[in-house]
Amino acid sequence: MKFYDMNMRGANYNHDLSMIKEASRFGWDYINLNYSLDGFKESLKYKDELIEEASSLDRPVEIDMGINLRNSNSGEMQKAAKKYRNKTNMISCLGGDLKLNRSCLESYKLDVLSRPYFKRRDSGMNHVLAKEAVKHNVAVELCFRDILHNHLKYRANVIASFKEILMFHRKFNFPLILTTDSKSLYDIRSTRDMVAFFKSIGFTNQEIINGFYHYPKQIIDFNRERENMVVQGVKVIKGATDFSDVRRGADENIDESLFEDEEIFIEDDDEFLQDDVSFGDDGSFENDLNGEDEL
Amino acid sequence: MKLKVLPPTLRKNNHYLILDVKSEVEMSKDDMVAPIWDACIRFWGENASSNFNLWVMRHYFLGRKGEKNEAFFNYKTIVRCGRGYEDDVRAAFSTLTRYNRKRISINTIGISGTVKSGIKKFVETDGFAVDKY
Repeated sequence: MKFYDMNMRGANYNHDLSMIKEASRFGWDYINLNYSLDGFKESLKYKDELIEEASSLDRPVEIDMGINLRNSNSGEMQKAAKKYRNKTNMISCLGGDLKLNRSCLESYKLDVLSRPYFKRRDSGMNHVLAKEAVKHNVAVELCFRDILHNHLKYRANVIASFKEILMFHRKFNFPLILTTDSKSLYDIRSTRDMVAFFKSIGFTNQEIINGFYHYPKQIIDFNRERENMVVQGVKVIKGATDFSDVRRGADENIDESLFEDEEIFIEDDDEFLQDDVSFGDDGSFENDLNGEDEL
Repeated sequence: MKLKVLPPTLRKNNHYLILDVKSEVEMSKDDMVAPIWDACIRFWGENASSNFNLWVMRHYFLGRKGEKNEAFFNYKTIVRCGRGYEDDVRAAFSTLTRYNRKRISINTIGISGTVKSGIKKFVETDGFAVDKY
């Protein structure tokens, strides 16, 4: 498994490089440096140099640069998302305001709603927003930094918000990503520490893997394909002159051994499927048979 | 009169966490005790922390690193913890950011069954020579 950190705050070349080196040491494989709109333009000047440095480390790290929209209202957010959509693989928007949370989750142009619970007493999410997130494929981001920099009552409040968002995620299945949002060297934590923390507040292993790997990867892969997408669900396949070419190519690659006659199914399934065999969440099964009656 | 040492079967089983510590100020071995307990008690509470069996075993100074505002003192520390509670303890350590208004960051870089193997695997690999175990 790889660990993707989709939100590390970038500032300037030296700062970013030291952060990347430290993150590499602690086991991160992919880092998305997030900038404000102005910072993003500046960062493009040293992007190539930074990528080269990151790939030449002892433990190479893949990096990319994204935009985090802060202090914006709904209109500004839409405008910025439209303007920068083709220039970056990740656009996120800082939540907190209910109207902004909703407009973010209703936008196809946006990838991530960051911290919907920001400066709120509740989680900033409900079942309506959760459904919108699923429909528009917008991920919700939970930042570890909020745990780090809040204490006592406020930290408990943030953890409660995490748990409520997790409950919505379990029911509605919208993409939920976990990030560090680290701003300085002191904020970077090792990947195993992050896993241990999220496990301790009630996340399952699969949810942690999805949050650190599968959903971030989905976002990145989707955005790399975005320029070829005409409308939602229709994609231009580069290099194909017409559909028949693609189809013929696909036929040639099929492994014919798959169609050879083989006895795949067991005819008498019933004797294997007994009532007292139950499957666990992780795919393991256990039976209640005793002694001689083992399968 | 001193208590007799428990036989091995009655002793608690321990594991050792190897920590990478970054601190804004210099920290001695004794200075490490308070933040470590503070982190555990804040995150898990007094009742759960009572199972952890925490003890600072070793503390090594690796040098001053970083630049300008981000300069820090880097240490490697070996902390004893109860077997089976390693993940709970490392989760608590990861939530620590400040102690006495000074910035501090603790990352767990390894878990070991003995202090000796912990030093060998995680402390000496950095090119740091430990005098004696």
